[in-house]
Amino acid sequence: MFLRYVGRRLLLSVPVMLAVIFITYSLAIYGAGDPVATIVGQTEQRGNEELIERLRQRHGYDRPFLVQYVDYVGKFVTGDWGTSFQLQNQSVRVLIFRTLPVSFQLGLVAVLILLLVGIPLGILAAVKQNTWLDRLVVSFSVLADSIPSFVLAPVLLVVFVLKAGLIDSAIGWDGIFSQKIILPAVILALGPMLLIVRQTRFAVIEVLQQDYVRTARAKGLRGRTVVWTHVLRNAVQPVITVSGIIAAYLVTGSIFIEQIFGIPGFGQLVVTGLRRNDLPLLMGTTIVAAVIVLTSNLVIDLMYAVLDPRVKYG
Amino acid sequence: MSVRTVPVTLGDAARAQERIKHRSLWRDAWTSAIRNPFAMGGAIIIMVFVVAAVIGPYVSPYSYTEQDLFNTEHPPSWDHWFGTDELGRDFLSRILYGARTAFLVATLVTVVGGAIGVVLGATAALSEGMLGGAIMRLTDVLMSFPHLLLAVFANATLRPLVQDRFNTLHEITGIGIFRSQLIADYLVVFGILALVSWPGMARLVRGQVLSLKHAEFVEAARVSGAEPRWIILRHLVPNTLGPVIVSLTAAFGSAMLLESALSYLGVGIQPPGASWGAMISENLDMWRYEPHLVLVPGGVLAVVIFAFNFFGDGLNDALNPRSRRR
Repeated sequence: MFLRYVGRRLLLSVPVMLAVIFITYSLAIYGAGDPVATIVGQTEQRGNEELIERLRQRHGYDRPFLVQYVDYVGKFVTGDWGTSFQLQNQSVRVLIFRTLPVSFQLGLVAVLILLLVGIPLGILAAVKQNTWLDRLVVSFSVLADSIPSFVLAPVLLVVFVLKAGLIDSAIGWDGIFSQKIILPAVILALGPMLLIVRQTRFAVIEVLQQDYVRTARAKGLRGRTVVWTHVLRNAVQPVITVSGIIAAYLVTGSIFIEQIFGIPGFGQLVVTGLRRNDLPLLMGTTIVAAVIVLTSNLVIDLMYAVLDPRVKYG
Repeated sequence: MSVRTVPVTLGDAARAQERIKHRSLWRDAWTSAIRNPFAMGGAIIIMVFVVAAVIGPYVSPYSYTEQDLFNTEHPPSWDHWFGTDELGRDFLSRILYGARTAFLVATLVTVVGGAIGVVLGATAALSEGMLGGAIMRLTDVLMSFPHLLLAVFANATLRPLVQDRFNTLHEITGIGIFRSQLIADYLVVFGILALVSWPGMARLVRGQVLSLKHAEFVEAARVSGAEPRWIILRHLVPNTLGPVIVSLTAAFGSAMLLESALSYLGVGIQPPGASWGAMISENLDMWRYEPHLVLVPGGVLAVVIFAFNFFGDGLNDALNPRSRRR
């Protein structure tokens, strides 16, 4: 039963994936103009129509669009994601898979911070609903949401590193067990913090009004026990629901944070591709970013089905 | 930014009751918003921002491109309230022009993206056939891209195309407007942001209309022989308007943020055009020595987005009777 659900869900994401690649590919082909002419235009052979035509034929750009698209999908599935224009003609796949683990670790630490801070804050705000504590927590999260990471990062860098001297060096990447990860991970976690706090707060308020919570209270359970046993379990679900959005937040946030903190991850790669107008690289990163969001949505749906017996496999 | 889904279901009975008391949802919302200090504070900041964006360039003491190479990187003074940047340009004037950029882009994106979203979302909900399904699949696809990445990618591919077309148009028509790279920039940025912003709105409207379509009071209206037009105008539109307004406020804030993020990455508004995001990245190297060059645009950006967030929350509480009662 469950496996069938997994299979169905996987199958459903195939057309979405094809459409994602279609949009990316048509933007690249129709938008940016002839890639061959672009490359040749940057060399001394500029204007050499014969060369351009030969290269077009060799790379298959003279074929109809749909044929090229299907060909690209085929190549993408088999792992041939093209070569970067600029970075010594390296394979886009190799570049992405080299940087992705770094970003993944950074994202993992950020998610940990996010959950360990955001969920308790949301519960706190809900339990103390409409008190100054509730307003403080919500205002703090709105504030965290309002300051763009490319503003917050330089400010915190100067405050913590230069002025307070709490962190010796904050630039670079030494794995997740170094102090260098603290600032980038915290800033990355602050982006979706508001979402988590709001979701948790709202869910807990809903749950607190349920009959079974009133029953638990009525039979004399302490407030804390009620929260731990009844409320928390039901409050986690809405948080899971927004995980796709969180994944998108993390991918987006990593672009700014990795660039500012000099972390050689996926976000840094996107910025490099952007600065050098490296179209094959940008195509790869854009599609992979969509794959990340789609995958997290998929995982979330499956987790939902496992965690909540009320969800029907259908 | 996520679009808040706010189910508003106000039964016809409650509606009738309210009419007796001569109170409408809107008047209630207005009283509730006025009493909320956070929402009002946000509204005041937003008004200051709008005024600055509209009249700022006329009252600014200097031109935003005027360079004074003898007075570069001055700290704030009476002559230059926010100091000058590395080219000696008056920072206050550039902030004011940046406000205009942010306001212009965000307004266009919100209006165009919102309109597309509302129309497509309502179409998807009202037509149950292939069309509705196709629209929703399209939103699925567009929403599986992280917004900024799609925007960055579309920017990299479409900007040369638009600039090329602009050059051609200028050669053919000789109209001066097509010579301006700045207008091409604005067009690219705002087109791309509208492209990524409508799916959220479409989903919200579709969900709203779908839940209303089978609400009892709508069924009752239909059974009693009301025309579809009447149902749409009297029942669907008023009940969908609240969440749509709230979501438009959020969309405005996030469009501003996306514009400055694009400009920060160097793919939005190109120099010498002024954008807060570009101002931050231009001065990031100097940040250690001249902190005001980053703090001022960063602070202004954060404060305005903060205001939109609080205002949106206040509106949400005011327009959503369910959350107000709590």
